[in-house]
Amino acid sequence: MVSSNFDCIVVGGGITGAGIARDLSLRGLKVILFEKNDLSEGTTGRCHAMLHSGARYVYKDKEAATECSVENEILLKIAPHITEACGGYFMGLDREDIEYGDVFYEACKNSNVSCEEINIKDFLQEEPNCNRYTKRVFKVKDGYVDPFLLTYYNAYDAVNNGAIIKTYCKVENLIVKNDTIIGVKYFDLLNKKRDEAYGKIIINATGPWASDLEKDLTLSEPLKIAPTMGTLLVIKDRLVNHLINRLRKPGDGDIIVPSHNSIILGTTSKLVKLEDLDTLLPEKDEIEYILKLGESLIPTIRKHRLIRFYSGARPLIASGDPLREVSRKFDIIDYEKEGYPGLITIFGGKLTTYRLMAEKTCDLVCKKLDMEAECETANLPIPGGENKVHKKVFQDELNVDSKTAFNMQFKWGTFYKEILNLCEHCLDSTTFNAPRTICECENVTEPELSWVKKNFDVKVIDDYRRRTRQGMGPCQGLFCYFKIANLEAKWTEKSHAQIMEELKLALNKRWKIETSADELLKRQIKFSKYIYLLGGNLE
Amino acid sequence: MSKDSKFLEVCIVGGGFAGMNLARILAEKNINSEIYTSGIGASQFWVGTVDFLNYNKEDLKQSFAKFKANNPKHPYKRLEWDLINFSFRDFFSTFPNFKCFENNGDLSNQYVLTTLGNLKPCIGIWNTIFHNFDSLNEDSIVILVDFIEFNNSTMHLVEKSLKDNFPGKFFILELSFIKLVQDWDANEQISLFQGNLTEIKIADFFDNSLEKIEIIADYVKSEVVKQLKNVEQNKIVWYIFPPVLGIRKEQEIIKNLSKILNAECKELVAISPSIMSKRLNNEFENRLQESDIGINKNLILTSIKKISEKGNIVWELLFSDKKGNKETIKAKYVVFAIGTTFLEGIFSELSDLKRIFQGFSISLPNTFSDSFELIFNNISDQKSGIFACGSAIYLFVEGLTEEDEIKYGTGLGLSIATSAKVGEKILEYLK
Repeated sequence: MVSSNFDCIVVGGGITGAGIARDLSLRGLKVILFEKNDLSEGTTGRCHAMLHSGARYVYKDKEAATECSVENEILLKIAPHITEACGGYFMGLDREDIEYGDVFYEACKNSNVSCEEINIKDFLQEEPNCNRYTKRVFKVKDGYVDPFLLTYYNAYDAVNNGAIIKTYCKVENLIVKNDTIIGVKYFDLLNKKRDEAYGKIIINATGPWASDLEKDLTLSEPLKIAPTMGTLLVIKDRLVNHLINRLRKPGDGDIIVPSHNSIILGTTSKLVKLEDLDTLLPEKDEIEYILKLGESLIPTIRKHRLIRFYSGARPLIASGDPLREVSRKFDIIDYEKEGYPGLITIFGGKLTTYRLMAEKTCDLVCKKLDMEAECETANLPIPGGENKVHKKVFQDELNVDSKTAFNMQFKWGTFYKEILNLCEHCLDSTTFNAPRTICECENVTEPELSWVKKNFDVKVIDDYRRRTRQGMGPCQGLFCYFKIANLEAKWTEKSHAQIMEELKLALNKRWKIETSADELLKRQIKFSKYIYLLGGNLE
Repeated sequence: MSKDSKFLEVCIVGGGFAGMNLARILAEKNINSEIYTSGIGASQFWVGTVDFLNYNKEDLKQSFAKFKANNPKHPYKRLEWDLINFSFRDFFSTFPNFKCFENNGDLSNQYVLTTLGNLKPCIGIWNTIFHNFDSLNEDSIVILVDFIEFNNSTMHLVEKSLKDNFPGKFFILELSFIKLVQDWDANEQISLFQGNLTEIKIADFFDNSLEKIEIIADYVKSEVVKQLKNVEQNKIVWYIFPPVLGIRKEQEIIKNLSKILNAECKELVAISPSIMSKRLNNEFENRLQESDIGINKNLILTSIKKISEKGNIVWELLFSDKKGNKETIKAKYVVFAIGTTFLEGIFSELSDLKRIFQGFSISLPNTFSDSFELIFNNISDQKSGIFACGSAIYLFVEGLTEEDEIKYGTGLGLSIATSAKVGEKILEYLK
């Protein structure tokens, strides 16, 4: 029972909500956050993990471009362990692209977005898998950020500063008393219990789901949300080491992001109904369409296996503009004018600008509560990011191989020492001094899983995946979920039946893409079903 | 080239358990057949059980009749009980390393414990697998041995399941393989620790260390004293090991260990399948070698067509390996035992089944006989039939759901029964 009064109740555990919870708790406020699934399981975890330099938006959305450019620098500084300043290229292929190049270059300058034209030969030397008929290339400061870990580290720090984070708790209603919002009613999905929490300010950070929370209020201008669905494909093998953009106005299938051992290719933009938000899945022809577009950037892309695809919903406000031209800026909606000073909705924006969105929202909260508290998040490193820990340190200290160290350097930062301390309980057989690998595709070791279990509030088996990338590789968990289930049996008091329930749930999330999968992926899913349903008799 | 090409009576495409069992059956009748296989398939993930319908019914014959009535499209619909009974009995008597479950002289299903800790009804199991739960009571003490080097271990899941479902006390005993061998001969250690220490290597090691079983047993005993202080050794009734205790001599090792430890030792059904699969594979290969049947590995079928030779219609099959080497085979009968999941290896780049079939330059069959024969243009040519057996049957039957395949009909049971049926038909045609 959470009965005490909070300064602030945050609804929604994506990067926006987690960022706000951290910012508020650093300012000394008493915060509670509710998330209906796991943190980062909604839009945050379904993006392409791109750290925008702003270049993509210079043409239509100057303000968003400048915001991205500033925030990009800040994030690289405060979170060196989960970002990669790999840089990005805009590659032009046809006459139209070449002409857009001039407009693009000018627009970058006007938005203070760093951009330089480079020699095509040099580009192809850096990225030999890209189309060799590229006609024009610009280099920008795009990067990569792990959207999952960014969320968990924010939440981790919030908790360290006194915040409470409740995952798998769905806020069902606002509690309104005498026309004043005083709290929320929520349903704890794991314990199947309803409860209430009271607070002075409620922040709606539920992204495309934002209008759900308005349903109990009488509003003259309710939110008009028009979420668009973007589909992304994960392709086996790290075919590029920089971000690749098509040199043209933002369109479909024109971004490739290198992510750990694979690349992410996308995206599309399609209006979706609010009632479909929880079950977004791309259709076969959409996947084919993106692959076709991807071929113009990397001609051999089809020779590499498609290992996963997913769709996320962008939180966009309905307007008459074409979908691609709706601004990617964010809005903070204060319901004071509607007679509810205790409610704020934060809406829109990008993963890259989450920190700024949180800062502005928290400024408004402080103003409402008549408090003076400085925002620290632009300078204070995210936990683990106090300094950059390089691959070699992981290799030397933890004795792991080069590939494992490569993946570790984008996850744990200065926490490697804590992970090292957990190693002695789970040493690998071959060397006797390296930690044991559990997920062979993504090189996730047992002490890493053990560390997130202790620090990142793992509630169910499926939670390990987002925190460590376990099960995200080519075999999609086929050869590691039973080991994860075994660890959960070892580390918790849960009953065998409950673990089986959670295992089934986690596997079903991997298997659900079957309807749109290609033949190879379908066979892999079928094989996974053989192993677990037939071999393991998982009911 | 065509002059040199091999001529067979039966060409079996696919070297999983379905293909090998068919080859075995044909060899017993002196039919000239060979196996062509890509070398990768679902059989490599066999876990040690023989399943036939996922029903826990004592009277399988009756359940089978009911199942057939309710599932008109299922492959089992085409089989008679006599054939089921005969084919399984034949299989179990050929491979005495299996334990066949019986009830009053009839084949029956019994529960075994899967690696996830769930119970699963099976018609038979590899002899050394733990299954007899009825003997557990409040006083039973069961030790679950977990080698910390065994990377696929699920002993904690199994322990939890046993605790939740059965009377008795269950304890995990953590053993270290490396600690066990560290005082041993240096040469042995060098060969063990060169490269990765795989489960197969550990199993091989036990195969070669029969004389050291006493040392192993002493190690187990001393660790029980160290780790499980409240356990009275003489009250332990079972020791359950992961299947790493040998690939060829596991029966012997288990027997000796049981004797020395003075408790029954058994193995667990393994999701980590390399060892179980290797055991059965060895048995099959030995048997086929005795009968002089060729197994041609690392070959992928690239085309198949009908040709006329000396007035007879035969199949001409073209196989190729990864290096591009080609081999042409002529055969009176062709059997597809290619499974459904691994046509060219699950993680390879090439994939699409339909494309492969188009490459066969034969149209897809329009009917599929009760003997799993593919019938083209409604004509059954008894002198040049083409068949499917094992789970490959699912490629040719329309209207079957995934549940039909996964829940009720795949695995070693389907392979045994359908290969027997196909073998029977080919023998009839050849008469």
